[in-house]
Parts: sequence; structure tokens; C-alpha cells
Amino acid sequence: MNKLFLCIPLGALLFSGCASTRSADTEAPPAAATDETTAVGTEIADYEDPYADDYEVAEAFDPLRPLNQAIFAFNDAAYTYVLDPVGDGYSFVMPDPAEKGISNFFENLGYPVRLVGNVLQWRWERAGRETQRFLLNSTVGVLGFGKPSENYESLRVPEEDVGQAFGLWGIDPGPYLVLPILGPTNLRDLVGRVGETFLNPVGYVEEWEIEWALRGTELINNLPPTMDNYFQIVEASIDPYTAIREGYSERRKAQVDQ
Amino acid sequence: MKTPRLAFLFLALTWALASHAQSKPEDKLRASVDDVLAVLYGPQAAQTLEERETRLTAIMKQRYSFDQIAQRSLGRNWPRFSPEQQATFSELFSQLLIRTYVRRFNTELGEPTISWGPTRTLPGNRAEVPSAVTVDNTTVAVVYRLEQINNDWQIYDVLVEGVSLVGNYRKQFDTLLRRQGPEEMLAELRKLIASS
Repeated sequence: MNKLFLCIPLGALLFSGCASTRSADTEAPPAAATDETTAVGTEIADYEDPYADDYEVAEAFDPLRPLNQAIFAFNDAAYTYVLDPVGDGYSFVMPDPAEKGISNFFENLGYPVRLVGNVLQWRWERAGRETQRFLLNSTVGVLGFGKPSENYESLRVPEEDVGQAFGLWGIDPGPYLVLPILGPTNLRDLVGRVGETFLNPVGYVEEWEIEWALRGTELINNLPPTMDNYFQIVEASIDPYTAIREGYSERRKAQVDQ
Repeated sequence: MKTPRLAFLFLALTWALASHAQSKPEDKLRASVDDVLAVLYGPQAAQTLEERETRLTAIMKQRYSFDQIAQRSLGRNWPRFSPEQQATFSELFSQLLIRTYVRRFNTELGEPTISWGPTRTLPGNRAEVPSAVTVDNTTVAVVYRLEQINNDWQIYDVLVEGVSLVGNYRKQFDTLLRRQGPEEMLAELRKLIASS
């Protein structure tokens, strides 16, 4: 998905899914962290970090950390030894314009999710722009393979989804979760995602063979950029688990606030 | 008599305006970003990987305040590091950031289009410059935060899609420093830099 680069790469968090942070007032220490919170505090109690105000976002609520870390390790191996090679092979045989077209096509199919996300947040103006975008890309863009909407500033709409709507309604992210293969999410966003599966047009294809072929294509087509992002973050991180958990959570929070 | 004086006034005025414009954060930032684009896509683009690395490093060292990034990233753990350790950390961390940045260009990307938003002033001689970077149909929101240091503007944080680079490293370092001391963390940092 995201290819950023005039900045040190870090954000662009994987799997265009979900995230969130635990609000500062609910401070129950994560079960796994209790044995390691001792070192700091005493010896530097008199030091006041002059920059603390700039970084107030509290750490994500992660009570299932041991489990999450195990799945994170499993995912890392799966990405390294299975998914990344598959994505590379696909990228190698598939011409770039085709990859881009397929990616556009599935992004366009995400319209119902974004529309509902907007409507649940009472954002009618953005819902309208999403609809214009969908119509333009489906017609002039030939079923969404092209993305003529990119040429119009007003049709660049922030992506909304159900999890963000829940966030706007004041629902807390809940515990941070790492799903096998799918990666980071949290309870709130997971519920949103399950609901969204009913909004995915691919789910309404009658022949199951075609349905799963479509799902597979979407997954594999998204692999190269997703894996790219993942490994760039891991390579730049001294603690990849924390980097991805916090990056994901903070990005979701930013999306909710947007 | 009158004309030279007017001419002088006019000159002084344009000079004042020009130097004022010079010290605007967005101008400094855009100049650096243009330099980066020139290294990558311009007619004088770097030919080899080494050349690209050297030239990008020079641009980054000029525009980024790595000392401030280092102190911000360690947060409350800063005083646990001795002055020597702080200097070592600053050096290693800047190496890691620069390397990551340069690596980012090894993938085949098209030339980006960048649109700039209006600069926002922050308290304490600081400013925030929003931008939208579009590459291959994907747009990413990038916000630069700069501080005026010695009559120059330097970057002390970058927010990508709302995620603060420094904020993210703060949490990573803090997590590690709950378990280990500065020396061990520096060793891990060295290992990370050497591993790639």
C-alpha cells in the first residue's frame, strides 16, 4: 500500500487494518510487564523530560502480550519464508501496470466499507465524495482498474471504516491483538472488520471458486508492498514488536481524530 | 540626491524581505526536499549507490537536528546515559535513521509529487509543515516539525500518517531500557546497524 519516502519510513502501517491506543486514564499495567517496570523511576526521578508534552500518547493496552508476541514471531517467520517469496515471485511475473490495476480494482471494491464508515460517523459530505470517486473510477477508470480520481484533489478522501466509526462514538480500542498472518488489530477494530466482511462485494459472488480466486488475487497482489513495508519497519526498529504495536495504534488514533 | 536614496531604500527593503523569506521554515525544508529529489531524479542524479548515500547523508545532516532527535527519543531515560554515552547514542541513532532513509530509495519508485500545506507556528520557535506525498497512486500524509536553531530551521520530528517517528522510537527505547542499561542498549543498536 503506502510507499513513502521523503521521510524516514516508519508509519505506513501494515495491513490497512485497524489500531488504537489505550487512553491515559485507564492505567492497569499489562500483566506481562510487571516484572520489568522496576529499573526506571528511582534513579532519575528528579529529571523532567523537557519534551514530554510533545509525546503524550499513552502506550497501547496490551494485556495479552505473551500471546501476541508469540503470534508476532510466527507471523515474522511466515512473512519471511512464505509470503515474501510468494509476493516476490508474483511481482516478478506480473507487469507493474497490471499489479497497480488489480490493486486499484480491489481498492474500488472497498467502496461500501468506506461509505458505511462515513455514514456511521454522519459524514455525509465525505460519503458524497466517496460516491463520486467510486462512480468515476468504475466508469472512466473502467471497473476501477484505473484511478482517474487521483487527478482531483477533492476526490482524495481519507479512508473511513467501521472501526473508526466505533472510535468516534467513544468506544475504546480495547486490548491490542496480533492476528495470525493478518497482523495487528485491537478488539474494537476486529469487531468492525468482521462486520465489514458483509460489505465486501466479493462475498456475494455465487460460485465459491470464483469468490476464493478473487480473495486470493487480492491477498497476493497486496503482498509485495505490504511485505516491503513490514520489513522496512522491522529493519529500522530496535524493538519491532513495540514499533508496530505503537505505530499501528497511533495511526488508528490519528484516523479516528481526522 | 533623492534617487540614490530611494534606490538604497528599495535595495535595503528587498534585501530585508529576501532574508526574511530565507529564514522561513517551509523554504528551508522545501529547498532540502528539492535537493533530495535532485539527487534521485534530477539531471545530476547520483549514478551509484555510494554516491547517492553520500549526497543524501550530507543533505540530511544539514536539515535534521540529530542531537535533538536523540534527546527526544530517549525521553526520561536521557539522564541515565553519561555524556559520552549520549554522544555515542546520538551518532549511532543518526546512522540508523540515515541508513533507513537512504535504503528507502532502493526500491523502484516513480518520482513523487508533493503538495505542501500551510505552515503552522508552534510555541517556542517551532513550526509544523504539512505535506502530501503521492507516489504510484498512493498518497501519504507527511508532517515535518522544525525548530529554529542558530538562525536556521532544523527538523526534529516527522509524522507519517499521524505517527510520530520520534514518538515511536521513544516507546521502543523505553521498553528496552526497562530491562537493560544504556551500555547494553547501545550494543543492540550497533548490532542492528551492523546486521544490514
